[in-house]
Amino acid sequence: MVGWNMKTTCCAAMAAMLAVPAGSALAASPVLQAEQSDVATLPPVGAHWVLPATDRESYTIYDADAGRILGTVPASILGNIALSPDRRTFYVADTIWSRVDHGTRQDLIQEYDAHTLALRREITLPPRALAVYKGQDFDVSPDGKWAYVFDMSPATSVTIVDLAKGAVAHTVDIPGCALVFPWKQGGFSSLCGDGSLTNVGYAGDKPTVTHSAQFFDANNDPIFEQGLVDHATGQALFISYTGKVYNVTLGQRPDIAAPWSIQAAAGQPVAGTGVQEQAWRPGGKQPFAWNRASGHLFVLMHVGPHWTHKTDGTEVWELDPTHHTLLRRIDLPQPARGIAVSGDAAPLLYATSQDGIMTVLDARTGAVRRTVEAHAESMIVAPDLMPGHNG
Amino acid sequence: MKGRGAAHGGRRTTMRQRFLILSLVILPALAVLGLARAAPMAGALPVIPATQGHYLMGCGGCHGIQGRSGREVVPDLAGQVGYFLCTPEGRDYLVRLPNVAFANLSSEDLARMMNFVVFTFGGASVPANSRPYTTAEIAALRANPLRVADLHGYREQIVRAVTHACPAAAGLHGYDVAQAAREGQ
Repeated sequence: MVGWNMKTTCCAAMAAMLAVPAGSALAASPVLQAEQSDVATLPPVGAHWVLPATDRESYTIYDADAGRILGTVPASILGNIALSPDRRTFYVADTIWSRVDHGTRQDLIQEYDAHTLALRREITLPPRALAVYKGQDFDVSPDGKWAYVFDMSPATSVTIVDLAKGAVAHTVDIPGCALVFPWKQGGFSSLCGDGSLTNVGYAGDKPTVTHSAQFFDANNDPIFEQGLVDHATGQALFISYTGKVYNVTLGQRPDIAAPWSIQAAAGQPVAGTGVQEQAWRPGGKQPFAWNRASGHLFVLMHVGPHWTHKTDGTEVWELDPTHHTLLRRIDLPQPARGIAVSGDAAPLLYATSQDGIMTVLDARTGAVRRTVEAHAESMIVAPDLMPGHNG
Repeated sequence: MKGRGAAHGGRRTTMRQRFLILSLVILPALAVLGLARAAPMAGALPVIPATQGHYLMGCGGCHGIQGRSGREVVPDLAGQVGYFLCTPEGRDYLVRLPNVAFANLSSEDLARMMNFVVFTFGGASVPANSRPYTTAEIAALRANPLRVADLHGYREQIVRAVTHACPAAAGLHGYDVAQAAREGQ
């Protein structure tokens, strides 16, 4: 009641103030026009768009060149986002409860029009794995036909969703394995607890499952969950806690190259597994990014002993994964927990910090272009714009 | 420490002296106030045997520290897991589950842990005259982990045969039914 009275009083006073000069003026009374409502639309997804997860309730779309917010895609702290290869749709895999933190659980993919951000469709899922901000929990096949949703009940499986039909096509158990890394075509691989990859081929009928040989030591030098995939080629980079990089061509029979060391590429001592062994090491919540135009790998690095793989990074190292060389070390203005890089030839590097700040840097010089109080969480998405699609 | 001690002249104390002061002055004072407690002794602390520790580290997070977990989401081990020894395939199944086979343990330690899980948690569900897992058996089984794309279907087959051999095991099906409902089958 008080609020209502206050508001009424306030409005009345405003009306009185406006009425006095209007009444005293001799100008013709204005013609009142009905407001025209419209719906703002977005231009095609740009090379310098970036989507940090923000305030645990959305992904915010930024134009990093203009430093401007373009829109917001709702997603909870458990939500993962992926852009369709044709750049026309944002998919969000999320989990909600009817009474917020309890009640009936609902797992779903929400499909947003990338042009209007209108919610176009919702696809019901079986219970997915609940992880706070992990891009490797959810992905879309490079042909745009299938979505892969990682489930952990805690038995692990992947739900394959037919995106044309908007329905679950198949659930494949991946015992002892986790996460999804899409191939160039026709399937995905997952990382396994025995140091191998499981490879699931699926084209709409019965899945074909193969396993690679063991190639990493899951107990003593595990691979980060945040491995990277180039959707256009099916090339993947898997990086171990000590900084070994495995270049892999994903497929039914993946081609796994002998690992090379990030530190050796940088002329630094190779990091070992000693619990007191100080060395430069990769770390953070989202420690890796891959620039499509140059093929260069960007790694968030810090100095610490073994098992500090979640420690914020103080530098970003730019490496050439083909020639195993260091190109640049970028000293960050403040430690970052996550990075992303745009895919174009004039790349921007994005870094998110504990305090929610997103720093935008010129990846070619390391110069800070912009500091944004973005309320950013650890996950930050630079849309992977594959060649041959224009949105 | 040296420089600091010198600066403070006569007030310099060593660690040992400080400890003595603590013991001689503070502890009796606490005793007078009735606040003193016996210092914790190694023998007085709960000691978790290594085998049980391996279970807690590798399995207990989901299966529960006492082997009870809410059987519809994660199969209960307590009072149930022994039924799998009713068939040879069931016995193998427990070790061929990748999260058992891939455990960061030697086959000897894994054999001890599986025997703890099956015979202690399993209790009355273990068939009479069951023999414990040996190290060699574990080593052979874990080298052949389950790689099936339909693990839940495979489990259902195993459970069906186990229930046929030991009708008391029928409760094992509760998990399969709940899992199928979750996947919308």
